[in-house]
Amino acid sequence: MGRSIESIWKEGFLKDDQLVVPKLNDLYNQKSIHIIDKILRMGRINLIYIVILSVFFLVVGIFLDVVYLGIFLSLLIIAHLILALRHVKQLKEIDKNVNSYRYIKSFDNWLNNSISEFMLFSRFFYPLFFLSFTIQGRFSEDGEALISFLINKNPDTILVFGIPIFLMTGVILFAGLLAVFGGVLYKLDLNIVYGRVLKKLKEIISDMEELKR
Amino acid sequence: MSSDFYTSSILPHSGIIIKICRAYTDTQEDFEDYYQEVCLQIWKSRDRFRGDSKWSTWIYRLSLNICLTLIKKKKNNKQHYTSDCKMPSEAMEDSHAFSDESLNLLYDAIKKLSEIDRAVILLYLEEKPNKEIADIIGTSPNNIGVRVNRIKERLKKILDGKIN
Repeated sequence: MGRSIESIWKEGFLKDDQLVVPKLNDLYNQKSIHIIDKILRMGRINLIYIVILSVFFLVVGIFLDVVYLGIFLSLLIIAHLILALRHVKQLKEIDKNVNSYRYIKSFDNWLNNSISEFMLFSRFFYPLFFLSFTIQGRFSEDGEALISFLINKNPDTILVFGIPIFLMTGVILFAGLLAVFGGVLYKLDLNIVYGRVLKKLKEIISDMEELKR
Repeated sequence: MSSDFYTSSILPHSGIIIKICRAYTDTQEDFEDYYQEVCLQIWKSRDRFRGDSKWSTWIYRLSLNICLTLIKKKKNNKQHYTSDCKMPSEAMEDSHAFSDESLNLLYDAIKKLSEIDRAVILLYLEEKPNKEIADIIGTSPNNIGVRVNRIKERLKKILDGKIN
């Protein structure tokens, strides 16, 4: 080889056409597509888990001879699934034939709308989930034993449907707390699974908005 | 990113960004993505430039780090890899090439080096002093001198193999 690598480099780049600067257009197109794809992929996996969970509760309910509890929990999860599928349908209606900023904004609006509906749903879901176990427990042998024990310990207590009032109050209070904080619990759950990608989505939108200025 | 910032602070250094991005990509599409990502990250990180090195050195460092990160990401992302099913040699045949044939051969040879050796030789060819290369790469200047000689030997061997 005759020429040194230094001279190949230097002389090669002396020609004007070697360093053509690529155009900076649609800078965030790929990024937004990538992040939306990722969220959708995670969402699909989540839906599969919901279906599995619904079947799981039904099977375990039958297996453990708590059929009503199994059916109820399964139906509760199916309600979650129906709500999720309704949102998936709405997602499909988003116009993809727009620029990446408008598309990602529409997606973000859809996401926020879905999250607020699921937060509302969770205010029913968590208390019902808790109450179904409590009611099942009430009619179980251990539950009966516990109630008898509590009545023996507090013979003066008022009974509501055969349950000491303080126990009933505690259960209702806890269910009430779950109803109040159900949305917050959902958000915590959401952040554990989707926190990183949702943060990334917000960052992309904020960068795109800054770019537009 | 304002066009003012791009024109005044990035465009004058676009040459080195292009040279670095070319060394870490095999297709025109990847090259444009890497270039855009580097420009974007420079813009996003501009407030972190403290002025204790030259702006150009900072751009070098950032460009290298971003390309190395993107390469790592691409390697990890099997899905991306399978969709990008062109073989490197095949991909290099497309528009991702310089008009100077010797330069193309040199770039092909550089791409055969390890990722860090690529960074070292690019900085050396841009006539950066060993101390600055060491500073950017994060090693000692003595190590850089020895390493550059070894890399040059390797490049010569690769190029001789190609030309003869």
